[in-house]
Amino acid sequence: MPTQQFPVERNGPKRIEVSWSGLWKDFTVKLDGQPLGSWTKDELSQGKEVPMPDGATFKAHLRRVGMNQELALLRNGRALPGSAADPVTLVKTAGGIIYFLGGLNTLGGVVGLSGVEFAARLFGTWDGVVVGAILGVLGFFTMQRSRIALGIAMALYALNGVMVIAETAAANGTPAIGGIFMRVIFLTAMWRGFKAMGELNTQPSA
Amino acid sequence: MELCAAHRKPSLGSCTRCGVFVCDHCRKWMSEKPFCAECLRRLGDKPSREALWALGLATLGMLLWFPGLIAIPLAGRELERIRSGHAPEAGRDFASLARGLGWFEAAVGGAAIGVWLYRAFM
Repeated sequence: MPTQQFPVERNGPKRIEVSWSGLWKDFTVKLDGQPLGSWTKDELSQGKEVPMPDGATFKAHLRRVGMNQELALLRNGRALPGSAADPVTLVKTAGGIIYFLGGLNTLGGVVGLSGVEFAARLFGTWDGVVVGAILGVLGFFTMQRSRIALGIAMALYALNGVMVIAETAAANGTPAIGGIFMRVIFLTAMWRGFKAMGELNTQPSA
Repeated sequence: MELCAAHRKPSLGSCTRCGVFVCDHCRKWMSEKPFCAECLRRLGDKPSREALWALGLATLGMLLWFPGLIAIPLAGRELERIRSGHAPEAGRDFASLARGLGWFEAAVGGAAIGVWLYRAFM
């Protein structure tokens, strides 16, 4: 039974506990160990609100974002800190993805340098390491909420995807669907981070 | 009943750093511990210089390897400072990422050096 805990205030104690079973069945929310409400799968898909003891409203909403599903947990319309829809989490995820891609290129480059032909063909050798380091720098500034860095990373990643597809098509091959799918998921997450940065940059205390 | 000095309201506990009573108006949180607004203001809401240095070195380590090794203890020390309330919470993600990245670089670089040595001497 998946269980997640969240604070009501940023960096505060984790007072809210959400749990469900299977594919979003028996979704229940507890506040300080006391039941706050329960949602059926339909109610969760439509987004149902319940009152909290302090007069605030709590909403749980399972919504579709791009090709993903997201569990939005909102208190008075604002995402709970650390939850999937929290702008701070979205920026952190975008930065993490860029570092992951950078790490992957670095690893591929190092493996290529050690003479593994497959890795050298896929990532290059020193060029793979340098691309990894460039992505790392972009990830560093993305973590500091730089929209320019995130924008450049998104553009480079999208451009690289288009080039890979074009090269495959030119060689009369079929582009890997799994690879395109992953790219769309990563780019969607980065785009959400980009939008969340705009939101965060207008509220400096977040 | 203890009262918060700033708002004359019933206290909900005391600040982890200075011990002053805090009410629901002035109680702030860091690392799930209560702090007064003044202490949190002093700590700041931006990542510390140490957290930024740790992630910066770990990032540099992606190209030059060795700085990544320095980032590991630096990030560990910063995480400890955050846990004890001596550094701002905003640096936690930076320090955690720096430590993870540093270990990743140590493993990749270590393996590459191992392969190189094996080829050179075996």
